[in-house]
Amino acid sequence: MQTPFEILEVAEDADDDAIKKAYLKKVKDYPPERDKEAFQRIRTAFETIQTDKQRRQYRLFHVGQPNFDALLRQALKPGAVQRPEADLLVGALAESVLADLLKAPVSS
Amino acid sequence: MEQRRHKEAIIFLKDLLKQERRPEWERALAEAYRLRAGQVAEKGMWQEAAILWENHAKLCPTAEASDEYLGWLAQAGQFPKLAQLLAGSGPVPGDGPFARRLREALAVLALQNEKLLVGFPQDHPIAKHHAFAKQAIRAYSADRDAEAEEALKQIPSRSPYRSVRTLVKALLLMGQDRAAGLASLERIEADSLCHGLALRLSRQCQDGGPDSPVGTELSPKQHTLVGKLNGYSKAQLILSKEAKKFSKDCSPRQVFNAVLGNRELLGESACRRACLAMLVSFPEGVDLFQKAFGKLSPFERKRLHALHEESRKYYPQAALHWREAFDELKKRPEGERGTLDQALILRHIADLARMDVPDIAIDALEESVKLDPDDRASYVDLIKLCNNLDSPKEAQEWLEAGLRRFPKDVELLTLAMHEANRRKAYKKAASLAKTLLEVDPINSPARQFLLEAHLGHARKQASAGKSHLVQQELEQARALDPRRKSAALCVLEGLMALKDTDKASALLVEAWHKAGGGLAAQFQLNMETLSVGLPLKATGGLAPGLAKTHAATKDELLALAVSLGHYASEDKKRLAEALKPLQTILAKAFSNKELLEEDFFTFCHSLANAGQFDLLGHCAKEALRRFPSAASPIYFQVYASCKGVAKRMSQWDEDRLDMALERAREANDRRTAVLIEQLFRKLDEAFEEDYQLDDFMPGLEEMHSKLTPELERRIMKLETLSQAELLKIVHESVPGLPLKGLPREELLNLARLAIMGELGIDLKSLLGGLPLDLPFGPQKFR
Repeated sequence: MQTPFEILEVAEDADDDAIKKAYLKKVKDYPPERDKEAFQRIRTAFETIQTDKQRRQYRLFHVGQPNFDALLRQALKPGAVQRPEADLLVGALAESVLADLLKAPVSS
Repeated sequence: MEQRRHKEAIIFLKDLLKQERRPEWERALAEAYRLRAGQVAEKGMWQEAAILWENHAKLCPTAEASDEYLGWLAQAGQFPKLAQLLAGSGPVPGDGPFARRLREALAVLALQNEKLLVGFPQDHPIAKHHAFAKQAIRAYSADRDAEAEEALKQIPSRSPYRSVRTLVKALLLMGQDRAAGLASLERIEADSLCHGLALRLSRQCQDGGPDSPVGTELSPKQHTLVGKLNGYSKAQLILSKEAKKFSKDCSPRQVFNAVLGNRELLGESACRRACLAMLVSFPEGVDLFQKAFGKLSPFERKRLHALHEESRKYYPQAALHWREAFDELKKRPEGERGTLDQALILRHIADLARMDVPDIAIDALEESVKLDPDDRASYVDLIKLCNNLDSPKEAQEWLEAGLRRFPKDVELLTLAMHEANRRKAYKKAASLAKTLLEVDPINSPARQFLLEAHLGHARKQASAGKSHLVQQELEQARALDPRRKSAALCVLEGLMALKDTDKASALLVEAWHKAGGGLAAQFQLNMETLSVGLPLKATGGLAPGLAKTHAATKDELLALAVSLGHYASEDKKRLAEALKPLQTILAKAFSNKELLEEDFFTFCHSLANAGQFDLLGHCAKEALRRFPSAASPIYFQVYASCKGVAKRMSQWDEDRLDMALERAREANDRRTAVLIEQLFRKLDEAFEEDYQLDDFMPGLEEMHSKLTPELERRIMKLETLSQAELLKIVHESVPGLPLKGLPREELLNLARLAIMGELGIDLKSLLGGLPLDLPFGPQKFR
């Protein structure tokens, strides 16, 4: 789960103005008629951290489980492609092919 | 064989064939081998299944190698034999979907193990295109792209290597354009055996990082391949292999350690945030956290404790920890105390305590308002909580305080307006409604309310004989109702003009029509007449009126129900008096055949709300006569007989209600079921209030300290006594108590109290409030 700050792409110490600006920009990028779900997510994020009081409330009482997928995705972003050795490629392919062959139900 | 005992059948058939080689026995043996092969394959004994099938094939030389047999060979790892079959040296293989997949598999496996090609004729596609596929892969690995592409061109689109060709092409493209390469991977057909790997690669090699890395299942070889294609560093490769350690299936400690162990790659601040969030469900990690990221402030530790308790739904403990967190904030030097944070914490405590300990919620909110007096919602909460606790005085104080702070707030003004009306402070209510309309001119409920407030005040002045003030109020009401829609206003104007019979009659006739005529109009006229202190006969002959023979329609009855709802909060006696002249008409109306069960429900409900129990009893009786299997008439009959007071219900009524509740649930009549459940709840509450054991238990602990060793021994011994012996002890103190069926624990308590008679406890007087011939069972006696 992304935090409202991440959804609106603002710093955690952003003020009311910065949050409103970011919200309006996001709404422009994702208008409700184009992507209803994204718009709803943006709207909810804005309503959660719109004011100083709400931001304090969020920081004090919100319990969010860390999004490990997002964390790992960030850490595992690819670099330049390295060519695998032929044996590695053939080995990985043979392993996958064999597993899929034996996984499929045998039918007459 | 009929009993599927094929193993035995094979033995018998072999014995028979030793005596004589009859063709039908050979056919039967072949069939037994085939069926037995299927049986052992079901147990995962692939090798045995394949041998049994081969025995079958020996007896049926024309039989083709079935997909089943090929599958068993594959499962048994007998690829050389499979290769022989596909090369055509064994029995002719079938051309089923599995055989086709097998050719593709053998082609790929032969890239790893060339021995599988032995036996394939040179012109067989598996042998013919093998060298091109192998060359393409080697050239790709060695960065000889032109050579790889040239070799790929030699593989035709019907070759068993066609998916390998697409795969290598996509990998070549990835080097120049990752996204285009991944898109090419997706072109591999879904029924190809290479599709699985292509899918995994396309998910793992995305520009923005792998898709759901935590849940990814890859073999070590596939991990290494992905690592290469993504250009991972050694640390990244290790992390990608350990991604599973971040899954929910791992213990919180494992996840915590995995995050801490990869701080460098995951980023210091992201790691700290993740670990802090994890501490809510894994408080044991505090030490590890502090070791890694430095000490947590006392406030933060208390906050985490509180959140931990909340996550376990232990709200009282959570509230305690929040209070400690609040105290920590207060201890901080001036300027760092976070007054707003303190107020927010107090409000949070109020939220946690609201349901179970409203007193604590009120205290916390009061404290929070001192710290943050601009929080409007806290005033509203305080008003509601005080009202719920039946503290109208405190509620009023908070209402006034809120209005002082937010004089133009619609919610507070509305609350104040209703409160003033409830206290029959019509002038105040009118003034509040006026303010509300200034703030929110299109607030139609406020407009209606103001009109009602003026009418209410007019009635009050009329009963006090202040006719000049009545006119003032009516004029103000009229100003709010320029289209003369209000029938009540019209009636009141008519009643105030009785001296001028023509004018009065005109107004009362107009009001009659505005009210829709019939029962509702008559009832309203009666109510308004009584409310200004006039007798009902005062309007005799001035308004149309209803003859006693009037046959009321269904619509009239329903309109009367609405009108009853409008006047429901009025004095019950006045309501009864206004309804009295209509009783004969109503009695007839109840037998109107047009009335449905729903209509009876509506009317009965309005009578119940208006506290008109006699009429409700008649209406419910008629409803039950018409709809004998319905639940709601029973409820309303019982409600009428106990006059809405649950504890006045007889046992007979309770039993009937029980039955009605069952009926309502069966008929999915949720509305009636809820009403019955509410009445039962009230009964339970009333019983608890009247007969709480706690009422006579205080002091018991003190008594315990006075127990002599002898008394203590006797009390301890009670636990060893039988039910009958316990009954005897209690009955010696209070003869005749209906204790049959009382749970042992309850009986033990009574026996303990009976024995404590020596300390001055008189069980009989304790139970003095209870009649000995209790009209209910032991369950209620508890």
